[in-house]
Amino acid sequence: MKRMRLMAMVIAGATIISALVGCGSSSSNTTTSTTAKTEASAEEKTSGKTEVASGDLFDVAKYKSNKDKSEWTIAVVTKDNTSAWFKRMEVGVNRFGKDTSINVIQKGPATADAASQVEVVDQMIDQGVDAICVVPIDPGALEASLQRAMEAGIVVVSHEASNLENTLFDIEAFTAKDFGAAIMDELAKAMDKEGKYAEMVAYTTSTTHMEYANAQYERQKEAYPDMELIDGKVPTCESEESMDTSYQRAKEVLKANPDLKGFTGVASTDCPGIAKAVEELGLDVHVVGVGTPKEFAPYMKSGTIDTLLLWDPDLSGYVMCKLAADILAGENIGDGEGYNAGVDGYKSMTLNKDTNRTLIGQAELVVTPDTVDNYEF
Amino acid sequence: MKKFKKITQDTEFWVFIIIVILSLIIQVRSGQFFTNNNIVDIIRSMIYPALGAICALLAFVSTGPDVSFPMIGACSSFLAIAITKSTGFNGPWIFVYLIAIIFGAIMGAVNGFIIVKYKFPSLIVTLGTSSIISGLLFGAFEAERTELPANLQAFGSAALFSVKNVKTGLGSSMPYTFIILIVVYLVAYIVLNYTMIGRGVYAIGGDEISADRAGFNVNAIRFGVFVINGCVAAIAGLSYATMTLHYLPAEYSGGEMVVIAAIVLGGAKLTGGVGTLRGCLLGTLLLSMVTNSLILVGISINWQKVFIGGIIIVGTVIPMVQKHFASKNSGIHQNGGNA
Repeated sequence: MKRMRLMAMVIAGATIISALVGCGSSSSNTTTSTTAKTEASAEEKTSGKTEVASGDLFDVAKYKSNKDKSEWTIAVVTKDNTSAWFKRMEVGVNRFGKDTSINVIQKGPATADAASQVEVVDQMIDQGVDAICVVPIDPGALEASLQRAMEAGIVVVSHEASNLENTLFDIEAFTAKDFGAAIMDELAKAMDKEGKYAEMVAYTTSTTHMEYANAQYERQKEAYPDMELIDGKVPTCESEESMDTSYQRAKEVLKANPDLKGFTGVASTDCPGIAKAVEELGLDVHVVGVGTPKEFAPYMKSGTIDTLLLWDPDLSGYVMCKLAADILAGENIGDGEGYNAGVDGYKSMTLNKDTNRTLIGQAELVVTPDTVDNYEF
Repeated sequence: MKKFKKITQDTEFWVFIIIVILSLIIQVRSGQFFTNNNIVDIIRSMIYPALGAICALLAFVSTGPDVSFPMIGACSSFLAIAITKSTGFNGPWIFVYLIAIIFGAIMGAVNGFIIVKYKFPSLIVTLGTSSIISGLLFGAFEAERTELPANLQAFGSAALFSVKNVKTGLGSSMPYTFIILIVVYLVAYIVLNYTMIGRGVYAIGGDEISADRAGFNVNAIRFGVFVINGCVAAIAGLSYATMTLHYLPAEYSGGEMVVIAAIVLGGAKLTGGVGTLRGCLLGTLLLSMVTNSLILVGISINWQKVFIGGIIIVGTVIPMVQKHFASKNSGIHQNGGNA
């Protein structure tokens, strides 16, 4: 009997603790009642706005705001506001706010999981913002909330989400094909266009990584006939998104292929692991890949990593806000001819209609050992 | 002859045979298995899982599964690194380890307390604490990838010894964490084999009531095992960071499954009371060897997973089948295990 009571107490205690932990990490204390409230308050707050609920949700012209520019609020919802990547994005978002004196806020979930991000989006709808720019963790999880936002007349723009349905425009820095080709061009430059190379991805199941990897191989076959991918198989190995695994696999590949001249990695964990292996084995192998300047800097300065490719979150943050503001201002965003965001790499964005309307820039950022110190992320 | 018969009944013996056969196959196919640099690479890759294997073994032998050691390692090494960085402490690396061990012990004590006091199954309790720790680590502490403090960075980049293969010109370095592995195993070996507490760990896992009647303090030993597990988990977690030269919070969770597979390969029984440190090392060696040789042998990426899964199943089944026949023929029943 006593044991039973104790157990009941423990279970009750555990429930309270988990409830507390849940609150701490969700950054929203209205978890359960959000949905009900949202609908009510969204209706109240949008009374001053254009009603889009009827008719075509994706008709951009309907989102023109009657309010003065100074009264607009553009909200940027990120995957995780604590990471260096999104801190860099915030720089661009704030610069846009300063340049245009439009009110901007950037918010992210306390933990980088899809459910917490949905809560943040719901909060933004509750607050009656005029535009939501979102970098989804899981596009599928956000569809319902974003649809509600658009029904309430809120402009929705996304980034890194070409498979998201409920968005007016998705912004991509480049196509996977162009980016893969750019990686290969850099590797070819480093290798003098000849020799054997290997490709690493996080998992063969990660779609974008495999697109980058395949594009590299395509580009090599078409432009650099004297280069050779090990066994002609994409990819050579998987890092499983772990720096230590990347190091171990790279070592094996290098041992099995002592004549290897180049190595590419497309997950941020790949190149540091590869570079560590190359340095320890005492080989002269050129490493080119995707990551962040701060993490790559030590290996770039020691000369092991030749080139780092990425896109600048500062600019993509800026471009998302610019596009949202242009839609609010009622500017005619090209149904057909693309978009000019007025920022380098995003001046002639092409429009691609697939799951959504995707605007694609040419914004590969190429960082070399000489320029790596210019970036703070 | 009798002695030989006894040896062939050991799970370890069969794991050892599998290791020998596989290494010969790899050597023949790649010509690079028995090279000094490859052996150093494989031993290095064993360090982290072998430390985790002690946690898994102690828990299985005495109580039941402990799946919280990767997250305890992640969180205690995060705290140790954060404290070292924020105080600007640049003394000997061992103090960073000590800070981590203290936090690990605290988290382990929470596990032990709940398991001993309320007799909850260890799997459920450690799953719960693991999830709470993960929530705290990423939510409250906002852990992210960071560089190591200077003293750990130096400790991690230093090599205990380096080898260079004269034929291929390829080099490899053994990190100092190898010494940590040896020390932890030596201590564990002595305690498990030569102390009353060590015998108690096996006794309470074999039969709790008999152990109690024999005079072992079941609760104290069980609580102690989880505190020690927390300490070892902290050492393992910080060693992982030291070896990769980065603190990588996202890379810890999920590591428990491979480690549990390794100790089961090494002959530990999921039902408790049976399992040895020797088996732990052999099981870890087998898995590390296989995962680190498939590219050398030239097995394509999709088949690698099939291969690893196959090794786990074959490695566990062979000794079982062998034992089954052995006990049928001779009537000898093997139980209990020496470390």
